[in-house]
Amino acid sequence: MDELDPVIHAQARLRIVSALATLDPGESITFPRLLELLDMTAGNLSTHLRKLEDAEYVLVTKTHQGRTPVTYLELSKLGRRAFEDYTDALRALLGAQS
Amino acid sequence: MTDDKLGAAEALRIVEQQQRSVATHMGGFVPVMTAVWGAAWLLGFGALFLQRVGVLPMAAAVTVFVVLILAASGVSTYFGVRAGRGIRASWQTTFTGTVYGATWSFGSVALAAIGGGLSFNGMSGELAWHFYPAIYLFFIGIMYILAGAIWPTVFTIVTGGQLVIVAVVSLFIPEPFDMLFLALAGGLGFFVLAALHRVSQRRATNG
Repeated sequence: MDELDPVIHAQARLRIVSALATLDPGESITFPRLLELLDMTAGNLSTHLRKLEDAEYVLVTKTHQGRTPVTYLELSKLGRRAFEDYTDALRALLGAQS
Repeated sequence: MTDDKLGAAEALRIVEQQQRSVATHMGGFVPVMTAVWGAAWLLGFGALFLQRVGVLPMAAAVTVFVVLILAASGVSTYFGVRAGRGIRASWQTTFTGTVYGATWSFGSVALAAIGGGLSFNGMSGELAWHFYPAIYLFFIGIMYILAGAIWPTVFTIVTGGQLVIVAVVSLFIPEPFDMLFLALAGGLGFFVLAALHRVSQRRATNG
């Protein structure tokens, strides 16, 4: 498993990145909506998002709608490319095993 | 940091399951919305058919038709807004959506004007009964096909194709059975599409 990206290759982060990759490039999603889609706890999601943000795979934009603070999340170009490389690597591994 | 216990096959299964789950969350309303349109068509055009055979007065039939179509439009709008909540579109997506939405309004008004122009040039009231349903269904069908091409969805393209075929065929059916045809082919067609979409969603979720 050495060739698999360690930032993505953990169940929670894999689910987060997979969900974010369904958005078109340039689209972003609020934290509560992502939470709803993933059915995770807010703490767990925050922890793993921080790791993805530290790796520059996820872009976090904080803004306001009226007076309400809103956090938008999206995959960065680097993150999208890393996810594509990761799934290609998985398929290559499975192809080699079969 | 890596989850060493996570095998490649399991990881790929998680990716695929998560992406299917998101798609179902985002588009889970489509079968319900399609069934609502099926009911609106069945009852709406059914009411117009009953008017043509003398069972319902004109005012009642047209009121039923208009109320049902407006109600179905309202349901569609509600589901569409709900599905898009919490998503911030890119400017390209916003531009495409705005132009597409404006085309619905622009096209609908233009068709009404074309109908008015044809009436001005001698189109009879009897012919107008055939013209308006057919031309609007044709327009709606084409808009569905375009939507399916812009936001790739085979289901939407098939629905649009069905509407175009129903619009064209309806013109070759003698009245008052053209309204019955629109009620049954359109309404039941929507129900069949709703059921097929629901089945494909279930397969994707369980797959």
